[in-house]
Amino acid sequence: MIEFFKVLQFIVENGIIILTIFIFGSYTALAIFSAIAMLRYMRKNSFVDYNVLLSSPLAPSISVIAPAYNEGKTIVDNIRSLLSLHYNDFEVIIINDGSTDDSLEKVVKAYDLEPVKLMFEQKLNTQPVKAIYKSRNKAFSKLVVVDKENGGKADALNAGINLAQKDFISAIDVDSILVEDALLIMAKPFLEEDGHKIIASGGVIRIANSCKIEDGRITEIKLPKRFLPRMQVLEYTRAFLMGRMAWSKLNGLLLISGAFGMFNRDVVIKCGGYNTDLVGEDMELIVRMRRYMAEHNEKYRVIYIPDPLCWTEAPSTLRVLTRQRDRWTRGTMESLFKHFKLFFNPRYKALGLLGHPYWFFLEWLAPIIEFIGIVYFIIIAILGYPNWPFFFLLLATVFLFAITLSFWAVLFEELSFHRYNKRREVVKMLITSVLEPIFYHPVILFSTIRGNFKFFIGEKTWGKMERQGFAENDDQEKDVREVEGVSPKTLES
Amino acid sequence: MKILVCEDDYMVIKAIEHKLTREGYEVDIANDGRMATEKLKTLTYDLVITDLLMPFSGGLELINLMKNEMKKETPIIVLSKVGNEETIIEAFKLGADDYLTKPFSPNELSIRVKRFLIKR
Amino acid sequence: MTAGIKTIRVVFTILGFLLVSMLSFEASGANAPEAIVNASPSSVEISESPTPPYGSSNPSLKPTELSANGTWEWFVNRYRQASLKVKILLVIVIYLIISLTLLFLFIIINRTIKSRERRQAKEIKEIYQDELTGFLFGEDNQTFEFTGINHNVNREIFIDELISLHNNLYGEAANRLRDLYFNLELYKDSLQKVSSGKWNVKAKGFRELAQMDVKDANRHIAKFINSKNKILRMESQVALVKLNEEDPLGYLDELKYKLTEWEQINILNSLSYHQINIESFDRWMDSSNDSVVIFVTKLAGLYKQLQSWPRVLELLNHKNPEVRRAAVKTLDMFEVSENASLLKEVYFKDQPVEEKEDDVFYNLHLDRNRLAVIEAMGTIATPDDLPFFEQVLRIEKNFDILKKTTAIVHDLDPGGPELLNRVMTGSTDDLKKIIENAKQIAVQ
Repeated sequence: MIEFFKVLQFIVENGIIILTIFIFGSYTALAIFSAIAMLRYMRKNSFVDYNVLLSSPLAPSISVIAPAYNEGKTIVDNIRSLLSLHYNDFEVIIINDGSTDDSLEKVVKAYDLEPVKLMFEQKLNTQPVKAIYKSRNKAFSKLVVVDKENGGKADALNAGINLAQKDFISAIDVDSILVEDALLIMAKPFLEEDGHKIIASGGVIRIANSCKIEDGRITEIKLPKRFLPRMQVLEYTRAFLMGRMAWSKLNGLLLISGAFGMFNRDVVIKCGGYNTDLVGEDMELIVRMRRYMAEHNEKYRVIYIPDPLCWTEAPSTLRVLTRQRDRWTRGTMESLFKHFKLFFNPRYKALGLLGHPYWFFLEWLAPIIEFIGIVYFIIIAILGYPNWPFFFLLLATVFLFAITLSFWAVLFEELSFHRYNKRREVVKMLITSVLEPIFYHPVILFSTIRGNFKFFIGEKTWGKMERQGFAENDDQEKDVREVEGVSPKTLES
Repeated sequence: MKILVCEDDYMVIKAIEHKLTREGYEVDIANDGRMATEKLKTLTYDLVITDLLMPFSGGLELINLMKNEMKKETPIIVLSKVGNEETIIEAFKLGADDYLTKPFSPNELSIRVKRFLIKR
Repeated sequence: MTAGIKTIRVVFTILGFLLVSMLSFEASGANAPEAIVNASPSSVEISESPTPPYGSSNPSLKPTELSANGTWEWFVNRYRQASLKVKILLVIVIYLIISLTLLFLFIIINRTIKSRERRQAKEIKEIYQDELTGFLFGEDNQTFEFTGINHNVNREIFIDELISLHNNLYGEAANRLRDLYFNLELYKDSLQKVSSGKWNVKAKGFRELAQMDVKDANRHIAKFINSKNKILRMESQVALVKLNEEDPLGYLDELKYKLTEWEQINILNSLSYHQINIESFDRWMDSSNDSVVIFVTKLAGLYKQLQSWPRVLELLNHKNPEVRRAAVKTLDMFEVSENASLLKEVYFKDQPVEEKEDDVFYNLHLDRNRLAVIEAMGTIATPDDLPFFEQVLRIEKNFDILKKTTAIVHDLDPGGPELLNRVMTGSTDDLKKIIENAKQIAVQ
């Protein structure tokens, strides 16, 4: 019996060391790649003049698509904010996904809308469209409002895609705030194609909590006062600056945030649009688009733009946060397992050999292993076999390394976009880094495990339950202005 | 004669302000759409010069506000980087009286201002 | 920024050295021979020290030997007895603590310095903005002193503001700024940038020289048009458009790379902004570089150069579908009714190819070409073209093309609406809906 435990202990402890080294080694490698890519990017973009797109007859046109569900309180401002984006030829398509509040009435009134007869092709299947509205007022000629029956976010996006008339589509969460030049900056990569088709570009999501927002614009950027959003700032900074930049360079980027992304319309339609059965529809679309291009032997790229273009409210209560992460986990798992064909499959190049396995091991498996590790140590401690110095040192190593990664993230941010300018705020971020592994990470870990659990038991009652669940979730979460559909991000172990 | 200049580029504002005050006009400044809207609602001007792309509401919305909602007859000169045909036509359809593209000549601007204000 | 990173690299190399030396010290100086991997971590370590094995099942560890020398001895002894695993971890932990502290300090110091620099830059920028506008519109006989422009950092900011203001103006005001730029010998700064090793500095130099029209700079910039660095390529081309007065687009002859849409937009922007007139684009329509052909074809349309019409017609037979499309769109802008028969030919030639259904973009290009043809036909259509449109309505499957065709036919008088009614019978559901919709819109 004792022998068995000793062997187990040996395997687990050495295994954990190796795993830890592997995990942290990967993160370090990613961080280094990101640093190199960031440096190049910052230099490249130090003097790009995006304004040339503003009045060029050769500039592409953009359809901005924003699904809305029960956003009554803020929808009018959100729309105005979208309409005042700096771009020349674009349309803003708002899809009212069967809201049960007065969203539609408010919008019709505020923008002087009237129903129009617009003929469009049902390229993607969606819930029926009830009516299409445009404004009588020429100042709002860019606005199109679609009223349809409820079908969920993915369904609403697909309806928008059906109606889009312009060259590119840009999907956005209606309550996110975009920087004025966002469309200009996102469009540029599509114009620099050289052999590789650019199928999508995505960016960074920044946290707007505690920022001063006036009339739908961010007038002053501040670090969130509350604990949870501040933690998330750190998380997002790590994920976006040190993770995705590297993946973009390696062309293995698996995810474009649902909160803001731009796509080649033809490829999206050819792939069948967003999948309405899933919780993590934005990630899955990108994976599917990449697969499609690879399977058709087309050279392509997915571009990642590190500039802070999109600001959103992050969950500030535990309840909403855990629910969000739980949902992200399930979304990640959906995409991972649906497209398991990619796993170490050389046909898909970087996506299959690096991207998918990375997500599999480090995003999905790592938290599970961590959880098992914790359970193991608790058991061992209770049974009285602990190797305390080893345990504590291991804990210390992991703790310190996590802090190191966070410090590096803060440094990255400082040396690149440095949106948090006051020294006081930088110090706060560093202190937050120290607190995160102790107070915040366990919460995330818990939600992730719960998400896993739900995924495995919920499998049979998929589809329909999820879609209804969406609507319920929306109602309950709205009191804290959570952003629906902010997509699975990199989760640290 | 009081002129409102709506523009977010500091140097352009300064340039216009210098030029017009030398010609004897009183110049008031709005740095963004919101400030411009407030000023238009509370004060009266003899002429408005506005850019199209400004923080908060843009120039087109401003023109719409003045000509179609407030029904003012104040002449509006648009001064903007954006120079493509559709936008210019849209501005005129909404009620703008004149359109100058950047880069602009301060002398030219001054002449056009005079043109509108002489009639009053 | 790069200086900071270099410092970090140095610091971490030193720390890395420390780490390695500590480990090697361990490896050589260890008294206790140890198995690299223990069969059981909680088993007894082979040790010369009489202290009892730790890691036993007793969680409360008592050091039985606490020598008079104190706790340091105790730690060193414990350390020596520890397994390799633990030693490695300990060293890593110490390394991390040190590096974290250094990192922390670096970040704070960097932020402090950056904040101060930023504030100072902002101050001087505002001063220069006031001084420049004052210079332009102030009293004529003022002699001007610009604060502290001999300082490198300030000088850069001053040049930026001067050029920014210059870009907003033209006429007398702009000329005065240009004179100032030369009088203060700022052109030398810009020329120096071109010789820099860093490409982003070079490119900035190109820009400044072009914007301030430094005539001589031409020869310095021309050698970069085929640079491997795509930003240098573009910036040099954009600059040459202005600086190469006899032949602004001459470099298109030698361009080896694909001209991306972004580059095209920038070059066109430069042409418009500097109000440069090009007599004819025909010369490049023969280029072997398809992107060049596409670009000049578009330009011919935008600049309404009708004299290029015959040449553009020839391009309708080009092997590259995107060239054909550019030609169709340009012909649309020419609005010449004689185009009709050739456009119709293009329509029938660019039908979707079934074998190519698997190719993601092949048929898409053809679809877009046909749509462009229909749109061009729309501009010049007469009732004589109704037979053609009837054929289109019968054989076309693409929704957008059908929609456009229906709209055109509907407005052709006489015969249009009647044609639509005829086609309704026996057509697909989609087409029926389109025609219905077109009628309803007309009534509105």
